[in-house]
Amino acid sequence: MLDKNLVAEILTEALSTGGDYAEIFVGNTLVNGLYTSERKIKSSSSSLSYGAGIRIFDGVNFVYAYTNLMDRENLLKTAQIAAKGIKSSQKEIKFDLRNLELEKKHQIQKPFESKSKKEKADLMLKISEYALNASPLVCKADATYTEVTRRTLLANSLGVWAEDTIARSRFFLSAIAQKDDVIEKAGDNFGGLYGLELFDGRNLQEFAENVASDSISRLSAELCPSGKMDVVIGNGFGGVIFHEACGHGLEAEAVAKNASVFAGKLGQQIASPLVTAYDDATIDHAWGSINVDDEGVKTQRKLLIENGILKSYMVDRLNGRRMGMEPNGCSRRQNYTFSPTSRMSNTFIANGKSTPDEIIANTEKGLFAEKMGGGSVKPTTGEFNFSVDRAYLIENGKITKQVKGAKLIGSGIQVLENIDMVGNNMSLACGMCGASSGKIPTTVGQPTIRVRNITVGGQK
Amino acid sequence: MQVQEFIEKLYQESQAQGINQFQIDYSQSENFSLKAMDGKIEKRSFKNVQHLSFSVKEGKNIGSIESDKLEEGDIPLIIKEAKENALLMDNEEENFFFGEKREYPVVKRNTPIKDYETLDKEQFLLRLEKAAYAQDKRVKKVISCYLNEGKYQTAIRNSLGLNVSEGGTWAFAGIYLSVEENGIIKTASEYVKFDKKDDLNPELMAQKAVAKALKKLSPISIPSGKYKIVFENECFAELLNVMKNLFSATSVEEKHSKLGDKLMQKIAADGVTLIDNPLLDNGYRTRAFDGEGYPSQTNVIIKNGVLQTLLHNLRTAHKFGVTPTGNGIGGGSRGVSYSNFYLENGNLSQDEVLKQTKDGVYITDLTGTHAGYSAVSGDFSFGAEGFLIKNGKIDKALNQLTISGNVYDLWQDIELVGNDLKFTPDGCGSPTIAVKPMQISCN
Repeated sequence: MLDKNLVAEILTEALSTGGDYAEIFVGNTLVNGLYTSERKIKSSSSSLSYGAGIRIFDGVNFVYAYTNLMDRENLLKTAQIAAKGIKSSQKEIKFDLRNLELEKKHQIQKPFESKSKKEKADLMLKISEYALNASPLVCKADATYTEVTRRTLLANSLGVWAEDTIARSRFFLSAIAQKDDVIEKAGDNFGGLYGLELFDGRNLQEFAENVASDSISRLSAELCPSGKMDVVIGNGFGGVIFHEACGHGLEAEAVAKNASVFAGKLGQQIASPLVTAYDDATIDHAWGSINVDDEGVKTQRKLLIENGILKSYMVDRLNGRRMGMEPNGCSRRQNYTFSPTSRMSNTFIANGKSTPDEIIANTEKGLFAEKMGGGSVKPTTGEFNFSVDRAYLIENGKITKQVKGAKLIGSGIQVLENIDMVGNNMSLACGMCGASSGKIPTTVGQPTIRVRNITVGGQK
Repeated sequence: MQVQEFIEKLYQESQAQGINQFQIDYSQSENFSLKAMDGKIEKRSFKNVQHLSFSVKEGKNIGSIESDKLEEGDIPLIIKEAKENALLMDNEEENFFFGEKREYPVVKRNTPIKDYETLDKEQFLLRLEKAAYAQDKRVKKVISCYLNEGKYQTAIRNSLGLNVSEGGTWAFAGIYLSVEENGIIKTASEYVKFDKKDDLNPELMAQKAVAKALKKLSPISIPSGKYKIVFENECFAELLNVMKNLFSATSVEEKHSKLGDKLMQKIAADGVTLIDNPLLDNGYRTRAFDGEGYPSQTNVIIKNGVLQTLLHNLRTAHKFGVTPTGNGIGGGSRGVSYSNFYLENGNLSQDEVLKQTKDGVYITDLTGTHAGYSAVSGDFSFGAEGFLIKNGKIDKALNQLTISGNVYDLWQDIELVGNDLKFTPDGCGSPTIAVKPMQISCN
């Protein structure tokens, strides 16, 4: 995307005021989106983002400057402006930019341009129609499809020259059901590092009918009771609790600043012995996978927790300096407008031994949070809050009534310690994670698990 | 290539290709920010970016492309994509560009005052961080200590003759910290929007942030149940931000609002007046025109509990048969936007609101608001932080809470409105608000 000699000049300029490390990130991202509703193509959008960010370190302090005026003169000027923020003694830094050999995984089979926008929209309308035809109670079905091609270049004063292209796509369907004055909405999605083969090998009719029946069943859901109860959390997107309440606290960004409850706890028991968890950016075609991170380090599979014992953090280059640790390939950013930091990729709790049926049957009274909604956490305190998207009461080991409006609150440490059953049905689900380096695609995952004694906030 | 030159070339090329109606939205922004940590300036950041959105009208539809790659070689691609997007859509309602000759209001914005130039920003931040640690030995960590300033310029030009531009500057500084006692960790933040040196008092800011956090220590638990609620002004402003879409015409179309057939009906308690005012002096979202180039105007949305209007862009106004309200978004979005969106002051002081409430829960922070709200039903359940209200006064801090209800009930259930209107940086504002009992769970 940029000439190697120009990049070398930019890095040299960046180091001219005594910085001890400099890098340039160039991102070129094309996004196309389609939205259908009410049997019409409501929106078709395109966006093209192209720009560069220059980062310079002086020990653990740093400067970040970015621009999208990409001519030689302005790029060198940006490097100069950035360098002005460093006031240190000149270092002898020599580098020779060499291609980083990458195993280019996640190659797509059917390029996005192999079908017209119209053909894609027609498929979306067809899937929506399955939902609308499922029941007269379904009054609206909306579909959204997004495809992203992200080309990146990362070059730094360690001599790394890493170029990569990642393509990803995702499809959403939502249905609104109405009966008298009651209106409820449900949705589901699938995505990954795929071209148009994203839609292949799936039963799209069954997918749409499930979304429709989900919206209908909510019409008769009762208000969720409040209080402390045992909560069985479903597989797949249920892993969002682990992502928020534990994952963020294992990012070096929080650990290095002593702003995480997990700081200083390597080798210690932080969770129930039933819990083993990974962050793995190398899973084939998974939504959160990448070949190389946004500071030029190859990605890897990291064991975070083994049988409840904390094994490792997710470490980026800058926070690694603060912690005296090597970066382990997890530094990410949304685009060139963000300086990168340690982030998750595909983060999940590994399979245990119980079957999901056993877990329900062993729960006398509690809540089955089959599908989680979104939530947030304060890494400093570990306190989280989550909405439950689809929930049922468990009475005498059986799933009984559907309930709505449930919220789970508590602290990450509390939950990790109180996991007392782990299922054998691990699955992954797509999400977008927002933090200081922007919004990035991440995968959450887990088998069905049971957590004792969570505070449930309902409307009753 | 210079920006003006690029825009001119794009304009010429669009005309040359015989495109009948098209529009160019352009913005440029610069930003400088600093972060302090452990007695040093940890991060310095500089930004200089531009953004363009090019839209074409074909039939009834407007198609767009967003791009920050302004290179002459890309002009054919930009035109092709926008046109293709427009031709693909099959909306039955017509979309519009704005091209009437109109007077634009003159708005008053914050502008940096001279003495600001003499401010040593790095020293200010280092003092702020130091002052926080000096306040109390229970201060565990200053997690973030920052200063941000920037300027922006936006312009809209279209084939109907519209050619408007405006710009502004902004600056704010803040601190976010944690305190710890007996293993309990609590956090609090404080920020200030400023345009002169005198607005920045590091010792006072540190003192306020630390005091807020310390108050939250030694929390107690209360049984789950219904409690009368008083929302702190900024906290209710945050709630307004969550439910503002109720008032947009596009939400009504999407079934994300049930207010479409409630015009001139009572939807809120007496004494509740809700306003969207882009002309507010020095507001966070003050502007002379909206994203479609339509002149700004003040819209009273709820007057004394009665719904007066929805907020519209050019398309929805035409569809609903009303005059546009100046709440359009340009570019590819073409949705509805908000400016300075606030509840008007009542006449009770915060103390008086608490006194009249007597017993209940005082909510200061909401968490997880992006996830705990169902737009179709209006049901919500949020995480929250707060205090017990005992005998009309703020009492002990409470453990982590959830608060649940329904937004349509909430508007009707407002009982008391304070006189301490405050805005948050997202442009929403509210005084202290007391409401009828709501469901609370406490950890």
